[in-house]
Amino acid sequence: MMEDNNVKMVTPTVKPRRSTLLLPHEKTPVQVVILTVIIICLVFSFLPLFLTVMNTFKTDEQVQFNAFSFPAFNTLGQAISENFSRAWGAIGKFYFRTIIVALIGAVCETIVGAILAYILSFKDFYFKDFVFLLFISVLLVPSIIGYPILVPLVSETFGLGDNYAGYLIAMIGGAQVSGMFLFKTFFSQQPKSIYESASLDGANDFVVLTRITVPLAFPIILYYFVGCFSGIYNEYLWASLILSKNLTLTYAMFSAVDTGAIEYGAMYAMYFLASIPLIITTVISMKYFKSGEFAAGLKL
Amino acid sequence: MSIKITQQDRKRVKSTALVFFVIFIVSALLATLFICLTPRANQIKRLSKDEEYIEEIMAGFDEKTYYLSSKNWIYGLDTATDEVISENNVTAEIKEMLERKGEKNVDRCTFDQWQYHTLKTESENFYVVNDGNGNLFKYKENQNGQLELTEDYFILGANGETVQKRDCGASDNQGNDFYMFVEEGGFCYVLKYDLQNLSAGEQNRKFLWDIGTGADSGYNKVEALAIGAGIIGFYVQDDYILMCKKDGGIIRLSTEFVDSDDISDFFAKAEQESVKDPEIEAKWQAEYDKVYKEYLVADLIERRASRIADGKEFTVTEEQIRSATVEQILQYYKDNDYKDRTINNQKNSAAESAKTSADAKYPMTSSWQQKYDKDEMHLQVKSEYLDKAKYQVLYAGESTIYGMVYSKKNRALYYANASDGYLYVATASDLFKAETNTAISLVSTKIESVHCKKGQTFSNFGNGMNYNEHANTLYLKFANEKTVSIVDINDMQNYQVLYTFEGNFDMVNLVGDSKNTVTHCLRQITKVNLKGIDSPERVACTYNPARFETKTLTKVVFIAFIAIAVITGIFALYFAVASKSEKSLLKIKFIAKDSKKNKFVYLALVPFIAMLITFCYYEAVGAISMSFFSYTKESPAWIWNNFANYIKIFNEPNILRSVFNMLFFLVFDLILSIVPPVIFAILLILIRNKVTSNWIRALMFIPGIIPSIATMLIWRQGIYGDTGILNQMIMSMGGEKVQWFLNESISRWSLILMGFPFIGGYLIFYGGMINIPKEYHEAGRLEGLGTIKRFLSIDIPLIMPQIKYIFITTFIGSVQNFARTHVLRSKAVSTPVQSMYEYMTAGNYGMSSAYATLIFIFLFAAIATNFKMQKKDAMGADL
Repeated sequence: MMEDNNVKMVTPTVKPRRSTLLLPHEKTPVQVVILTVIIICLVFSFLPLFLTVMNTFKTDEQVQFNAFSFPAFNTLGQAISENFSRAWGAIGKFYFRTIIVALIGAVCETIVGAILAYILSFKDFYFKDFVFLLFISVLLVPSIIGYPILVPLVSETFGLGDNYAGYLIAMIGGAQVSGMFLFKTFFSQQPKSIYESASLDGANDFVVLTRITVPLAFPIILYYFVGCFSGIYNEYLWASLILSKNLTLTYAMFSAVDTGAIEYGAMYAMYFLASIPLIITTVISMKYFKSGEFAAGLKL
Repeated sequence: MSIKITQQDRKRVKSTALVFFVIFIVSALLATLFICLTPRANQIKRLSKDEEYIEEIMAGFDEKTYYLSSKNWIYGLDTATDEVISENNVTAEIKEMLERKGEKNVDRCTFDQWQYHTLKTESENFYVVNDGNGNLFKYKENQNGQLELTEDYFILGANGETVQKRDCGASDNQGNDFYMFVEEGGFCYVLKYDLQNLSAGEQNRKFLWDIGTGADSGYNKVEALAIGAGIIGFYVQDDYILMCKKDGGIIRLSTEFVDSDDISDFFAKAEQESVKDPEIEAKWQAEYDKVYKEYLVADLIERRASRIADGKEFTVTEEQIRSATVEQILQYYKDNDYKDRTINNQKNSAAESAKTSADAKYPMTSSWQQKYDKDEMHLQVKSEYLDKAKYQVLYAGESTIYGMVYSKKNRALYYANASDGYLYVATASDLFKAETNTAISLVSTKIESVHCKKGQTFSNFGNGMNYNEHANTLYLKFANEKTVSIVDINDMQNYQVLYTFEGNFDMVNLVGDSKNTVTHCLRQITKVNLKGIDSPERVACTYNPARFETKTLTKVVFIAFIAIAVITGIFALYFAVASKSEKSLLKIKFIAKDSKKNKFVYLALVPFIAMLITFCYYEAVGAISMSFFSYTKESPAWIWNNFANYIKIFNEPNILRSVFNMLFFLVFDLILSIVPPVIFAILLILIRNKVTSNWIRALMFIPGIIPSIATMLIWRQGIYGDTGILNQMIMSMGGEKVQWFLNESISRWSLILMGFPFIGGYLIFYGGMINIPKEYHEAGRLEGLGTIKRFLSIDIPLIMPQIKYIFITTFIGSVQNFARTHVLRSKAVSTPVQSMYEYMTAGNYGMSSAYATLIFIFLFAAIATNFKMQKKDAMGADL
């Protein structure tokens, strides 16, 4: 691989010849240009985050006057207390609930997806292909199409309108297919020999799933779990359709901003608060997926 | 593994087929039985093909019923056979008649749909039709039983009078006079017409007073305010009209009402009385002053105490306050820095409490009341002033009355009180006694046995009750649930709910006959789960409520039996056919063995498949089906509308722009989701220093901690907003503010540029590239490929699976992306999915489904084409 080559070549065994060994793009001027472009991209990617962090600690007037300025030191205390109390007033009621709901939902989605993928990868039964087709053809149907039916079904028939259970159950029911599909791709790449020896040792399915399959596919399961968590956490459309009093954090946040019921400073404080639960997912992602290796097995 | 078919297997398959067949026959029979047992309704034929349906029942009798249709035809139907006896085109006939008579005010008659009201008469021979503006036309039954429009009509609508309530018009017993409740510019009147001579115009007109509620202090408050069209019951008998007001009040009005006892009389009378009795006035004033002063003293002492407790000073002592006059106390307030506002507040609340206190001791004199209420334009009148023979408030309670009927047989008034959900009966022996100048005492009794269930309320659509004179029963309508209870009122000691039937449709009007059959006017059938009327058309039906009791259970059982019958039928057929063929037998045996072995696997799959069907298949199939029907939140009925949803979509004025916007976003989304991330991934790979690359990749995760909705909102307000950074930058350079979402073309670009620099999804491409074996690159280098050529001819082709993955997910995501337009509140840019969302939140599920179906078809076609192309490619590669 390219990087490995570089490392070998850069190792200064013969110092004077180094520059001649470099490929054209490894020359310093080219590298400077590349780095500049990357840094510009990075700066722009950080823009929303920068605005959030800066403006959270400014008073309302300061935000309106100049969103780019740094927080003034003398008004810092006032800004923090005002912004956070207002922001908490708007979303505080739903803060921990949403985290719990998203956690429960993500755990359920991951478990359901993993069990389903396990059955469809390692079990041999006559209707396997048919069942797989039954599941996989759902991927062709856009999720949005079902909402006109789903809303009355969940809220009226099941009586779960404005209820977190109703909010989650439909999401889990819909998400199982993508989970199954993703996991199956990775499960079937696992070495068969381990499974054979496990069955020789008399391990039952539960043991095989929890001791072999899941540990082997741990990064992708974690990847999916993190995705599910932020998916449920960020869900807006479904929340706006099914929930009316028991809101989710993001929906409450959007409503507060959309109705103009919140000041500018408090608005950013709200984004700041809403970002905190995602720090953990970000740290996990950073640790496991930075290398990008998980993407290699990804295919459609 | 070889499986052999034994004779036993053959027998087993045959017997299984037989078992299935037996179950099939039994469940089919049971289903048929349930259909027969299900209460059925006689359905009146749909009147015409052209969207015509019964709008209202004009009159219903044992022998015939007259209906007014939505196209303004009157149909007379034989109640027993449902055959049309007579039909009249009201609009055309009236127009023709008016033109024939040379009527000048034809313009004042409106003939629009929905405008008509019929005002029933007690006599079978007259039907007065009102066009909604109070214009009256009379139909008469001729000898042949046909309805004929008479030339006797009256045009009233010129003054802007409108008739508010369908039922608020009735004739007296003899069929001589006709009374109508009319609203005009916020004031309410009762008008009287001579039924034999309508064209003579109104014979009498009476302004109606509002009855105040809570009249328990010895007099009825009658306020000189218009009754806000809240009349829900109207009954004429002998010489009196009984009227019931929605916010709790029953009025008896003489049919001989005269306009002279108008409200102005009360002013005069009140003035007179107040002059006559200065003693009461003075007494009241003294009482007022006393209470006022007490109040001020108490308040100031309290304020003083709290001041002193705070360690502040107060200019006067408690003793001084107690002994001071009112003027002095007011001065003390000022001395201690209480603003005028505080004093005024004290004054007002003191006056308020003085009033209550005075009220308790003396009946209010009208002049005082007049002064007091001047601001509100209220005038409350002592009941003594009313001529009780002409106008009497029988009941004024703090309740919400949603329905009133009078039973002639029981000589009792029944009203549905929505405040507590009970039915009440009010009786008075001399209710219609003429010339009584004493107050009639109406005795209201709660009927404990008839009430709403928990969470149920009476219907407030029109009169929430109907009365069946023949059977002496009441029909109580309930809100939302669309259920009707039939109450037997024959035994006044023991009221019984005979039946509660759930028709599950809107009932506007109920008419019954002696067999206790209800004739409903259905404004719309929603879900009528009964055979015969489960059609999405709007029809009128006759029901025998005796046969209604279980609706849901019957339906569930019926569906269950049908489902069992279908499944077992298919299996029976399959097994029967299979027993003849060796190959099928083998297959069956194999499957049976497999199922036995894997029974836990199948069992484990059941919940997943159940969820899949409930939350994916049911939705998709349901939505596609629903798109062919009018189905809204308000009237959840599957009404077939001849592709009207689709026609509406294709006729929407901005549909082309909407589709264009979708494609515009789609193209840019596809480009922006692939090109910038791929370039960024390449740049990252080109970085010489591995540590730097590592750091950059770590940093790239950090912006992800902001929730996506928050990111969008930040773009909307913080970046594109009025005081957003873009405008701040432009202004600091001396430019003018830009409205980034001003119109469609600007908004489109603003929306596209949101998310700059679009590199979020680079990781998948990066992951793909670093996993490319290095031998490929070495080979490339040996071939003399430069850096750019290397990426173009080696890396990018090799990450095609990832690019395809992103392409397809972006394609699906972009078409379905409603958040972009919705979150930015940018109504300027509409897309199909945005329209779908708007229809859905507006409760129009039919239209929403039609949009969803079209989006689905588009996506499905696109994805299918894509897969087909991929397959072709793959085949090409194989070759």
